[in-house]
Amino acid sequence: MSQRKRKLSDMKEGEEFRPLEFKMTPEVVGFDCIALDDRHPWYTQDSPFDGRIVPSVDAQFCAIRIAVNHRDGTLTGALFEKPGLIHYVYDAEYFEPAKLGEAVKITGKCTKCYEKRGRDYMDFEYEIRGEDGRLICKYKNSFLLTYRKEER
Amino acid sequence: MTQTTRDLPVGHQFPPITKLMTPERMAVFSDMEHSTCAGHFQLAPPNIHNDLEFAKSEGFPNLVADGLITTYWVEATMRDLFGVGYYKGGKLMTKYIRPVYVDDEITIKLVLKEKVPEGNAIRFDLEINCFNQKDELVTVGTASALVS
Repeated sequence: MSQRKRKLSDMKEGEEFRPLEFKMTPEVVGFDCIALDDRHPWYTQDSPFDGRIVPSVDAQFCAIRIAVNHRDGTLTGALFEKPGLIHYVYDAEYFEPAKLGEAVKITGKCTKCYEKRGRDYMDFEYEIRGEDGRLICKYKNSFLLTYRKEER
Repeated sequence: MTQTTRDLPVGHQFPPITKLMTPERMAVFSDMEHSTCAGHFQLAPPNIHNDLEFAKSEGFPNLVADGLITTYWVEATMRDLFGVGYYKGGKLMTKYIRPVYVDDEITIKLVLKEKVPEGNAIRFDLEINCFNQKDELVTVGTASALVS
């Protein structure tokens, strides 16, 4: 008997993600630059932060990585589920950029599951730290679980 | 490359930036988002960003852009305006209040709302409003950065 695959929406309020360490390799940063169509010199050559840095919007990619790792036990790719999750809010506070080649540690949890105007939402919060322990980013996001009201 | 100076008045409207949400951008973003979360290159499976039938099955009339693309356009603008003061001490909140569809033309408008002393610097608080070609608000938010 096949087991139903766990989804992000199966998480409960207060449930923590398994912490994830992830290396910001040149390939990963290269993916970011291509996806964002932005080969800014700080990402591709050098920056005022003593070397190449990672685009700060990678906070969202870190959030997806930890969610995928929590759901699947390994990194398998982005969270394209059906019904499709709709990213609703991006909320980041940046302290220091992540450096190219650095292993960052991501922690996080589901902070709230709720209904608003007939639709289901989930809120999450995360912390991203560098390999020296410094705080890189505090990040929060919210997802609408499905755009279709009848699939609630 | 930067920059914004301390004497910029509250109420200042930064030059608007208009970007086209092409199907190629959306598909590549989807593939790369998938790849960056896998650690190696992988084409994304069908989803609301790259497959019209999938998007319709989810209740959308057309392909829907990932909200993060608009957020990134704002982010790159903040980086170019404030440089280090955005990357070290900056904040960004965006809320996607209406779907952005393929071929939509998105105009990003940033306004300086407040200047608050913070240590030896001044925190510039900005309001973000992004409109589509029908002049409908699609993304709203706030951003801030430190100016030395």
